[in-house]
Amino acid sequence: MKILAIDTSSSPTFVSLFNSNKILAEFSVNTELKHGSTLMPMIDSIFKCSSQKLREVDLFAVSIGPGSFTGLRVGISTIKGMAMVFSTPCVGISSLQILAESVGKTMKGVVICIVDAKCGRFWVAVFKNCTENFLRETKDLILDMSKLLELVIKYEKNNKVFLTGDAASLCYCELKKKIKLVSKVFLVSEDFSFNKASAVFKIAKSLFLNEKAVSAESLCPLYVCAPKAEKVK
Amino acid sequence: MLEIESNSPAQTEYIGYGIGKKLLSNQKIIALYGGLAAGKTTFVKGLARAFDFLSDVTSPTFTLVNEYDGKVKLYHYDMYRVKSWEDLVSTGFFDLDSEDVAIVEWSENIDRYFPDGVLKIKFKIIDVKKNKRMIIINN
Repeated sequence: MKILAIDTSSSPTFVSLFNSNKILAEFSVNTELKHGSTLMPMIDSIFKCSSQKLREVDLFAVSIGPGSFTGLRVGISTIKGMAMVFSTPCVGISSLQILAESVGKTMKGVVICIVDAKCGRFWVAVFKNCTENFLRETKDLILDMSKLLELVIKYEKNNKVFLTGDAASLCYCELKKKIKLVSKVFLVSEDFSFNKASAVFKIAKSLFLNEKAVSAESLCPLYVCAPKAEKVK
Repeated sequence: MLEIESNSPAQTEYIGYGIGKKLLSNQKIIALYGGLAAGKTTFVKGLARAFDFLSDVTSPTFTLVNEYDGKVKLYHYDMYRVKSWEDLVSTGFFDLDSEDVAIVEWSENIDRYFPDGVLKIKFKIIDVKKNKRMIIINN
């Protein structure tokens, strides 16, 4: 089974190609260049370098957010365009779930993914790191710092808590100001916070096996906050 | 604070050009304030020219944002219909790169979401018949 996965939900662009149980190719670009100019050449070269063909892809996986509004639209419309050609199924993956899976199995407890949504708001999701997989504790939320700290403190009472994501260190600093003893809260190293292809592969495969794949037409972004045009409907 | 008087659209455009030429490298958001026909879009025409963008500049009232390819990317926003954080997210305003320059008309609607260090320029109509306007620059 071949899977092409992309993630454009934050400033880096990630493209990876999988075959059954191995990563065939992985490509990431983290520069000032926008997804609109990086994504298509990256997809083109990942097929060329791995001697694979687009028509051989059995499943497309794409990060559907929350994250960069423009990035999500670029990523999802690109996948839709390719998937429609061969009626290939697609899976949409929460960008926060990718972050949680990237943390790995060594950190047992609760993983709280925190991504900066700008203007003092954060996209947040809580996962429990169990023996087999990550269990989702909350849906993807948008919270301000005080609500986020309340959430962390709530989970910290009975669990080891791991904070990950680009705003995790900010949250950790604010938490230290609020409560003196933060012995059960840990900051995940940035090495783990970088979305990993293997995490995407694992989630994509699991969604596919659980019959969560959809057609290109049904693939939708997950903004968490609805843009004006959608609210009017 | 600097106040400059303009007595014609050509003068407003030239003031925009002059300010565009004097912008510092860290001034990435230029917030424009002022009501209808205050001269904001005319000012942007001159400012865009300072960035070597020589084609037409039009008001992004309906498009929300126009993109100009000058020596850097210029994003010309009109926030007349943008009132909340959710609306602002959906304009792509938060996806700008550090090299991009954003010129924002109707900044009064969203300036609570601006970061520090924004160059604020206010347009006041003094006399409609004489085409007289005051351009007030705060930095």
